[in-house]
Amino acid sequence: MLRVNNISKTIEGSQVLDHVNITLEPGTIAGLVGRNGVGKSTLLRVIAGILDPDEGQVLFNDTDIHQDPQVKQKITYVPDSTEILKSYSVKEIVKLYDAIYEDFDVVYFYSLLDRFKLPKNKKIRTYSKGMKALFLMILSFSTKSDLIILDEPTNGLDPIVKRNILQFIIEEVSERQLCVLISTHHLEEVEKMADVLIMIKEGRIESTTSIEDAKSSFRKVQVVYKHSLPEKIEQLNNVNILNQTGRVYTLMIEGNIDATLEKMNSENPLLLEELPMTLEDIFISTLGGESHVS
Amino acid sequence: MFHRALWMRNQKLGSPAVWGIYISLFLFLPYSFFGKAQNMLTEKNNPYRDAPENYYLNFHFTGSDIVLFLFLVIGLAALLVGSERTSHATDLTFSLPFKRKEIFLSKWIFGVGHITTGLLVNLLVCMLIVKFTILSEVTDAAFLFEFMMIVIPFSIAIFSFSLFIGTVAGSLVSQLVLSGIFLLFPIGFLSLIASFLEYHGISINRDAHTTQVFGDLINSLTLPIPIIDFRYDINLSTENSFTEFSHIPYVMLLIPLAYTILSVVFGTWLFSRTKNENNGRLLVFEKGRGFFTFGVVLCFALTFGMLGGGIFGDYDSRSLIGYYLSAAIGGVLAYFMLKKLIHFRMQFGK
Repeated sequence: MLRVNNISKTIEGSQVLDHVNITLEPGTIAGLVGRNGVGKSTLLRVIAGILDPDEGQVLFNDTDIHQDPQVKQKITYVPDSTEILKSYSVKEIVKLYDAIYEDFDVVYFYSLLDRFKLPKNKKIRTYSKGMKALFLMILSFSTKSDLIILDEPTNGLDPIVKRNILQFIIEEVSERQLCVLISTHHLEEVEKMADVLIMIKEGRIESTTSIEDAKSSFRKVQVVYKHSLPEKIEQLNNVNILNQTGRVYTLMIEGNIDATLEKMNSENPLLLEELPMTLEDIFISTLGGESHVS
Repeated sequence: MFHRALWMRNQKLGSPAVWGIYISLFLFLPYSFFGKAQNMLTEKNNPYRDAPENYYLNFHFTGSDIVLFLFLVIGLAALLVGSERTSHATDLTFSLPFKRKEIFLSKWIFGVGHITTGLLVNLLVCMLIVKFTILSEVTDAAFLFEFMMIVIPFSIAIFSFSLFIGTVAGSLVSQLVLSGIFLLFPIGFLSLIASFLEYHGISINRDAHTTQVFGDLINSLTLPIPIIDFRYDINLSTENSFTEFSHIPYVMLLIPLAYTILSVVFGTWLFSRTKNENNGRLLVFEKGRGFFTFGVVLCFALTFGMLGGGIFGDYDSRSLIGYYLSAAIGGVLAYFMLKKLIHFRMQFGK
């Protein structure tokens, strides 16, 4: 459905995207994660046709979206800015989107407004930030697009609305076999709903895997040795120290898990136990960083 | 480019300027004409007692009456392109299933449609007012037809050129400022060059005919001038009768036509290649920055030279040292100011 072929983009002399390749199939929710400033929003804006790539192509159903933007009848982009439609009233936006998108479903749109309890007779500027974000998402799904690109979609949403909207996205994807590409700060959301995890680092795709594969290729362990961590273990390429408190180390093992655990055991640890692992641990281990993700 | 959705989008973006255009044209054309007719009628019915012969018929109209409309035309172009760049709204417009060429041409057609409609309707109403009021005793409506022949193509050219400037300017403010500067550029730059030559003892005297032709050409190249300079004066009083009618030759109408065609062609080309990542900055394209900086520094230097050159001399013996010192100050100031401005990003609404 979506094929991003070798996209590169330089902005103000620095390479923001470096030969990015992504392929997404229908019925997929893909989470795009990476630290601040690694090019997530730029990538989404290139895919949406807002920015031109210096190199490469974005193909949607084998059509280049930059050459033939008409194909975007089936693509919608929800930016992280909620201000773009603020001067419109709900009715005006319905008219506008109905004129733009051939398959825009007005009845469905109003039913979603009811479902999420958004006022119908107001200007968008009177909505709260969370309401605006929700409104843009509803608008986007009502176009009956096959690919929906969401840039930080849950910013400003309260936990209840956030849960409802995530549930709604999952329903939509399973019912209509559409594809949703989400860039988000909240890894727990990606963990709950995404099928595919795309990690981006310094403008390059670090990995594209399913959430299950990502989790199965990592193991988080806590280990204590009599003295400090043995040099043999510390120097292993697939072992990352997530945390150290005195002689207690929290380690992340990436790949070759059994052999690595065996090596650890052979150094006679006082304690070696597996810890429950979240996507955030994988994120920190893979993309670097301290205690939070972006 | 005639897509209803794009028209609706442009309507939303440009509506303040569109309303302004219709209201200002109405106020400064039919409303003002009707007011003049009423005044004349009042004066006719109530002549001065001590000097009834003072009742005379006169009428006066200049293109500068609608100067506000010209500002609004530039404002409309800035709202259609620059405001989107400043408010992140380009993210919406450029993500829609339309070609960039269609988006740009829809903006042009939208603007031209409203400008032409506004002028045509209001000037036709003015013609009716002239025909059916006391104004008909003074003049006929032919001068309005002549004005129409000038104001419509030149206004369209001003709008097209300002829209073109929007394809290189990165924000609403830079589009407004650059449109203003470049619309007045031909006459402004000529004055700077003339002053430079005079300081270097080079005379640019020509015979009267050449001067007239050259003057008409420069005036027409400076798009707002033919509109503002249009004058129609008629005085039918017995003692002091005269008619004055000044406007540019019709052959000069080729100039707004050329401006419009070039602006639309190059504007479409540039808009299709726009660098939205530079929205909010002074210029959208990084490639032209060097040339732009050179141009601005040169113009500032010439302006400072012209203004400050007299400091070290008097009117008859002007000081070349004063000229170059002032020019150097202007150039250096412009260079450092521009260095700051060119990287400044003006964007709201994130």
